[in-house]
Amino acid sequence: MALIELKNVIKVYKSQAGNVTAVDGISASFEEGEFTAIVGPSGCGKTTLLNAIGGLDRPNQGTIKIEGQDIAALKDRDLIDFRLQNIGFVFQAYNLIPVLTALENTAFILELQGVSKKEREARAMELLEAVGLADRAHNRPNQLSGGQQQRVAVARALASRPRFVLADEPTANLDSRSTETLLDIMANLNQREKTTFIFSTHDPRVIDRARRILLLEDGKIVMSK
Amino acid sequence: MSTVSMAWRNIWRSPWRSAVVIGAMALGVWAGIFMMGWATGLNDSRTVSMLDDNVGHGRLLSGSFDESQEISAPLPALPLFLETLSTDTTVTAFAPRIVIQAMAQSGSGAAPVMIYGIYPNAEQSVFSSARKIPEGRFLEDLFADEVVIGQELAKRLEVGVDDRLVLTFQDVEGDPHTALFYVVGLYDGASNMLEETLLYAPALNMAQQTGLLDSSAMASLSGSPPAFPVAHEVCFRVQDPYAMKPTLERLSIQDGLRLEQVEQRSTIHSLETLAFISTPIVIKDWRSISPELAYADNVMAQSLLLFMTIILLAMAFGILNTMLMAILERTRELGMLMAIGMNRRRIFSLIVLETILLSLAGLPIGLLLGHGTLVLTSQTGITFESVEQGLAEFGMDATIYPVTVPEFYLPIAALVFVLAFLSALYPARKALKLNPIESMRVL
Ligand SMILES: Nc1ncnc2c1ncn2[C@@H]1O[C@H](COP(=O)(O)OP(=O)(O)OP(=O)(O)O)[C@@H](O)[C@H]1O
Ligand SMILES: [Mg+2]
Repeated sequence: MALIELKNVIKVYKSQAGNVTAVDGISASFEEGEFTAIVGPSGCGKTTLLNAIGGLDRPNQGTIKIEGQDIAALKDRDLIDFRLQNIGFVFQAYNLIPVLTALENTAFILELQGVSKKEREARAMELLEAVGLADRAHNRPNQLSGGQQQRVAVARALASRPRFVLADEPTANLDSRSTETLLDIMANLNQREKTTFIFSTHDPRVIDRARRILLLEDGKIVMSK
Repeated sequence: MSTVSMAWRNIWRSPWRSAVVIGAMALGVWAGIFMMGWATGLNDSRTVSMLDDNVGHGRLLSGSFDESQEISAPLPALPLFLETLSTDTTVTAFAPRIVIQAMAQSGSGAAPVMIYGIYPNAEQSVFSSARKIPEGRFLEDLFADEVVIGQELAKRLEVGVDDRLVLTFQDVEGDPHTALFYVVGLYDGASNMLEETLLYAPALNMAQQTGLLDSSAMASLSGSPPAFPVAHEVCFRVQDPYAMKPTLERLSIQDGLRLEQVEQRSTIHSLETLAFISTPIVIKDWRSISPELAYADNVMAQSLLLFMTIILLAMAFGILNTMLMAILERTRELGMLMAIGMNRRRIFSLIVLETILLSLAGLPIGLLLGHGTLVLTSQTGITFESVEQGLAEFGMDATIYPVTVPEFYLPIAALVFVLAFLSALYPARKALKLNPIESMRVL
């Protein structure tokens, strides 16, 4: 059984200006351990697709099964808990809680999951080391560079050992060196922790690093390799 | 990283804004507490001056006198009650007295009055109006045809020291009785109204004229008389008028015991033949002697709390507004928190906690400042010279001594807590209505 199974997913945004079919009948599956990039021009539906997979938004049609569980069947409140327990998120920006240190941010999901302080801090520290920020553990986000903040976000997404990590343009705000570093880290963790990564990008340097690429155009998969 | 400490840190994301809110809360609580202490002090001083002046702290009287002011119903077994009062350590002074309704007449007018037939030293030990004699002197002789009247009555009847006053009253048989008295002094009472109606005359003179003591009883006084042969009521003072319940309880228990003894002993004491042994004895504290004073206490406490509630309600709106602003500023962050898996309950508690912490932070400062101000001013007092005259009309001093009001601190804290919770609800609702992906799209 595939880790994630999409069948004929359709998402239509309705507005006065007219309806926009952001995701237009996508079927795809993702296996455990993947390192997949969803690419395509701006407005092709990458974010919409990732939001649907992550249970942040409900598609109008089609089914999304995660390990056989149809997430459309979950109530809103169960969906929040499902995300907490199963999915790691890295957003383009504003990932971190400004009042918490890097370590506290990294441990935050574990805390929501009810992991003991000792255990979660050890795990968070481990991840901060993996992203090369052990020495900044006690700095707050505003004392970190944009690239460092994204690395903390990756550390947080992975700390709870989620079933998979969704990252929507994680490098969009980074310069090329930070982009390289972040991708190195993600690829590394993909190998070491066997974490499944699905990320979107339109940055060719990022696309090169992916082991699988889904190309979207107008809400449809036009190429998969 | 507990929710509490996260909430606390969130408060300090806008240090100035939060400081202003906390400062406003502290100021509001301070002002409220000070006002409460001031008003309570004002009320207490009025109460105490009324108690000192003419109410006393407690009173013993026969039930029938209590009901009808019947002159022929003196307190039975007086010596036994006096003995009880003098052995009770919390009772600091007592004054038996005869009470008679009368009409006072001078060359220029007449006025209804209440005659207190008193034993001068005892009366002075309990009541300050018997001590404050700005003109003339107080009564001395227990049989003399002398009266001490209030300054206001003196004005009204246009009499002064050494002038004559005619008093008309009923005797125990109900027959009218008229007698001539000399004014020997004017007393300065706490209230003008009382100065106009209360008048002091010697107890035994009144007892004789009204027939409360008949001639044989009077004759027996020439030997070695009991200090206080007859009285309608005994007024007494205790150490703390705000804590006299134990004293009253002790007196009522003894009352039951005494009554039996009285019946056995009533033949022994010739003076007690007058006693209406069967009538119940009534013991009153100042709250029942003067219900309006107790009522004023309650009304005062309630209005103060109401006033405080209004102050805090205004604060609550400020806090609600601040929290709404905070939520608005953090839309993106709240969306992110929901996206990564923070559930509604946690979001709700985070916001409620923030609001409560923000509200409660100023409370101890305000309480401390308020308490400190009250401690200071309770020593020095606050004088309002311009209104001295007006206050005197109501039996009040121009210098007000605020008192500390620790009994209000807990209710105030509870009030702040409840209002904070209530003002958190709306912002929290706003936050819960946020949609994670839409919130994160906000620029
Ligand atoms: N809330 C919305 N209401 C209406 N239309 C929307 C909404 N969100 C997205 N769309 C539209 O849906 C389409 C897909 O948007 P989406 O954000 O998924 O694209 P994207 O591939 O992530 O683009 P980008 O690379 O710029 O992030 C676009 O045409 C967009 O205008
Ligand atoms: Mg996008």
